[in-house]
Amino acid sequence: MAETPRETDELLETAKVSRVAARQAELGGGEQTQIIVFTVGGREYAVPIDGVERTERPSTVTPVPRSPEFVRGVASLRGAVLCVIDLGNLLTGEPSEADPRSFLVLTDGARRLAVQSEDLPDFVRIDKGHRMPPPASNSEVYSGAVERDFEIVGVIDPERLFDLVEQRLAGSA
Amino acid sequence: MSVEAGEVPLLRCRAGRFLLVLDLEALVALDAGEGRAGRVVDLRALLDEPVGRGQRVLFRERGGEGLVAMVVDRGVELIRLPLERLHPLPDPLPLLPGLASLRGVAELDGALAFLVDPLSLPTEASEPERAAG
Repeated sequence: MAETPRETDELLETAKVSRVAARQAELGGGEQTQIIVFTVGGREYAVPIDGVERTERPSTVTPVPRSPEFVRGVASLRGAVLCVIDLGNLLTGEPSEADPRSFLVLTDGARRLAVQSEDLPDFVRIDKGHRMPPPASNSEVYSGAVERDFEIVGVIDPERLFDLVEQRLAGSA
Repeated sequence: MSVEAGEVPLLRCRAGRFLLVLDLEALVALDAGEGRAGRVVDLRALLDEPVGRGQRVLFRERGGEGLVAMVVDRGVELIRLPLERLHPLPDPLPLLPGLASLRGVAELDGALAFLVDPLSLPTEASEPERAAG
């Protein structure tokens, strides 16, 4: 696991480069994909590496007026102001109390938002054939699941996550 | 107050927990006397914050000669901010109902403030003219 966010950033860059190698491996028959595993509310989640724009050191989050509880607020991350959400609260209804150790900037096309992680993100290469069906709860945001340390970790589909966030916000009168 | 090229003049104020900046384009007066505004909007009430003793800022209504008084916490300041430190409200927050008057986020020294457009304040938040204090 990376020790600092800077090292994490370097790993992410390395991981992007290594996608070429992964593609070559795919063409050679070994189908692999990379995911990033992070922790919210004591629970691990995963997201495909293509859905992560970058990782960041934790930054001050400014609350947003009249917003639902899963919206932590806004933060300035390398000159860009992004919405920060509490993924645990969004998916389980339980607010995450632990202090974040990193932010992940998730992306889906032009859409971006940040999620907090209680741990430094971990980069994992998995065989595509080892993907499992999505977890039963909040199955609409997952594209599948992987087994990690004898636990089932849901793999988030960024497009579905952004859609869910937008639906919840628009309906939060 | 002189404004350099690439800078924008703003009013910095607070409404409860929230740090705000107000566009000065339609500003008429600070600490306006009673009776001049057609309606009063207490920003603290609009943002679900406690309402106490406040300071009144008077703006001209969009496309008319009417005046609207905005009430915020005491301690309004004039500031200049480089344009590059003003950002649009990040997605997906513009979808939030009831926040149409929040137009962006300003990076102040060590803090973020919400940019309020006084000309898009909801009329349902208005009260008849009365003392703000």
